[in-house]
Amino acid sequence: MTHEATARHGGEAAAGTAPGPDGGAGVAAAPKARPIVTRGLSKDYEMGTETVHALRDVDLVIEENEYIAVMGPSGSGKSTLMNLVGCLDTPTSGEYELNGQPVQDLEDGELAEIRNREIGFVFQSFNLLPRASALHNVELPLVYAGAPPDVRRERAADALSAVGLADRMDHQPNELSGGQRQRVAIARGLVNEPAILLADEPTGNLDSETSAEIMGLFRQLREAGQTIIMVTHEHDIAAHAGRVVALRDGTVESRDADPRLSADAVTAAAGRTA
Amino acid sequence: MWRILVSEFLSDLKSQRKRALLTTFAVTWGTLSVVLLLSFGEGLRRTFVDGQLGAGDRIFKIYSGTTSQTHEGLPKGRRIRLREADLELLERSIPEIDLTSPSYGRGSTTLEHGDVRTTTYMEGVEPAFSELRSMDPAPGGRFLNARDLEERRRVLFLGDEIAVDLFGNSDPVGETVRLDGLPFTVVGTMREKFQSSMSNGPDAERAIIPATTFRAIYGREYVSHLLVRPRSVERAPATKREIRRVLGSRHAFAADDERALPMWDFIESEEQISKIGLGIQIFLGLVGAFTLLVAGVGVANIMYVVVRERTREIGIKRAVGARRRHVVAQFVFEAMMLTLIGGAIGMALASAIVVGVDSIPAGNQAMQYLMNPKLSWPIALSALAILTGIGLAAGVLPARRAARLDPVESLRYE
Repeated sequence: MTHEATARHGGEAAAGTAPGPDGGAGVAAAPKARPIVTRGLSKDYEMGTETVHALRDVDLVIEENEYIAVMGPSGSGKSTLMNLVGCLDTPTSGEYELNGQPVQDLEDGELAEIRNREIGFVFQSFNLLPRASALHNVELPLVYAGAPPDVRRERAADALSAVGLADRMDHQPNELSGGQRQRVAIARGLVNEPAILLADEPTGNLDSETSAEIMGLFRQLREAGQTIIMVTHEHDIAAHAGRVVALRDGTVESRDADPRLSADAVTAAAGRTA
Repeated sequence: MWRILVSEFLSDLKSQRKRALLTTFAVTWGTLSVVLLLSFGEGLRRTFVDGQLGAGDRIFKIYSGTTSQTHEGLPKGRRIRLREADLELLERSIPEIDLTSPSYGRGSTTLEHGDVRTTTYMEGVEPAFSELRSMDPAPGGRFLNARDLEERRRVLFLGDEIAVDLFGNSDPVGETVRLDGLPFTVVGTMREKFQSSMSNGPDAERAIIPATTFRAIYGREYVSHLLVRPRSVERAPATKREIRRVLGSRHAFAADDERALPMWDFIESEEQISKIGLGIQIFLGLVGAFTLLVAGVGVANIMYVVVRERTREIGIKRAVGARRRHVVAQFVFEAMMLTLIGGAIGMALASAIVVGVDSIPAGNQAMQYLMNPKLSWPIALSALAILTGIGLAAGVLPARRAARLDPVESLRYE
């Protein structure tokens, strides 16, 4: 499976560098093939009198339909990277182009719009609205996108059907299993057809069987053309990705096409720290 | 935007029924208190003013007095006694004077009809007295007229209560009453009125005859008092000074000698009573407003807790694309809706109580002050304004706090 994913990744990368289908408009097509480009992305936090460099000079290029795993020990900056890439936070310095648009200097309202349109979030603890039905949860991004109610319903229902929850639409999160909740969250993440699906430890609260289900779903999504970034600390989960970005002390330690290799690197890094 | 707000409000309402119910109840209670207090205060104020108006409407009652200053070589302590000629002089010299009437009074006058015999305070007056003293005739009768005066007729106008004393439930108009032994024809009775201010007993117990008839029978030279109504309330103090000046030069007393010519200024009394009423109103309004404020603090407190409880929810919403103003608007809207719904219920309940209590007939005069609550537009609008203000304040503070939350932090919040 890993080889298959890698092969697919390679194919996509090749397609990305080739001129776009509209030939002459290759310049316009080129950024579309690289939904995420960061240059010297840094984030500092003030902790009392000390400055913590959570992320330093990260250059990251993610191409369309890539499936990336971001790994690293705690404190390595992977959450910070995730928040910056997800436009939940703004960098201290550096540049970030999302779908060709520089977003590092956007203000809160514009970032909210970008999050709404371009990014689908999937969290470890699902983060569903507890007292709302699965359907309403999935409708939420469409609510802020300003879609009319009937369109909202239809698209949310389609998204839920796509993750295999057509018969659970009216259930509240506490009436669903962990796997089902994460599927609802994935449906919510995808309902606005975002450029990137950003998953933060998506299997962290799930047993191995359900984790495998979710990974299967991610594979399907990727096959359908979705770009996925997944933060995880589990090697066997990272192994599902086409490429691993390993972080350490806020810098990219390894960018390897073979997830097993980078996983070893992370293990080695963790060993050195211990 | 509105669609988002309403749909979120409705789903929040559904999911937090108990909290919404309690919040709404607090506001309902506060509104009920403030509106009821203000309504009863307004009723109290109106009853005060009506009671004063029942004794006389915008008039000066001018009495005979005693000089308290020496004047042009005359000693103080001289009696100043008023005649009808003084009234004629005032009418001639002061154009500002509108209506006048002399009043000759006689206590313990005997009234007899058949076997019933009673005594009361009796007055001899002119036709304008009816308007000056708010003694309107009940339907079927009339007050004294100019011909009664000219012809010194033996006609009698009775207070509503003394009429009942003498005649029971039968109609007294046209009947004969013996007044101090002389036969008088009843021409009218007074329409029932509310009177809180009085001298020589209430008007309901009074017997009224023409001033000319009174003088002919009792041979009085001096009046008990003069009644004068100035044309303008604004110029009333000047008119009052003018009266003292004119009568002062006639009777040789100083124009600023108030005790030479005591005057009961109904305009001033009414103003004072209005002020007292307004004072009561403000006091009750403040009490009510504080009650409402407590309710508002309750709402704010609950909204604050809600923001805390919903930190995660806010984070989720922010992550999927809610802007800061969406979050602010959500909380402000929710606080406003709860406040306004609670306010509307409170207002409706208060109106029902006000209308209900107002329709109960007051048993006695004391109850008259309590049982006349009035709900007026100014009251309703000020209550609404207070409510809206409190709703906004209660919503804005927590909402700003909610909007300040960092989405990253909010999502991590357990």
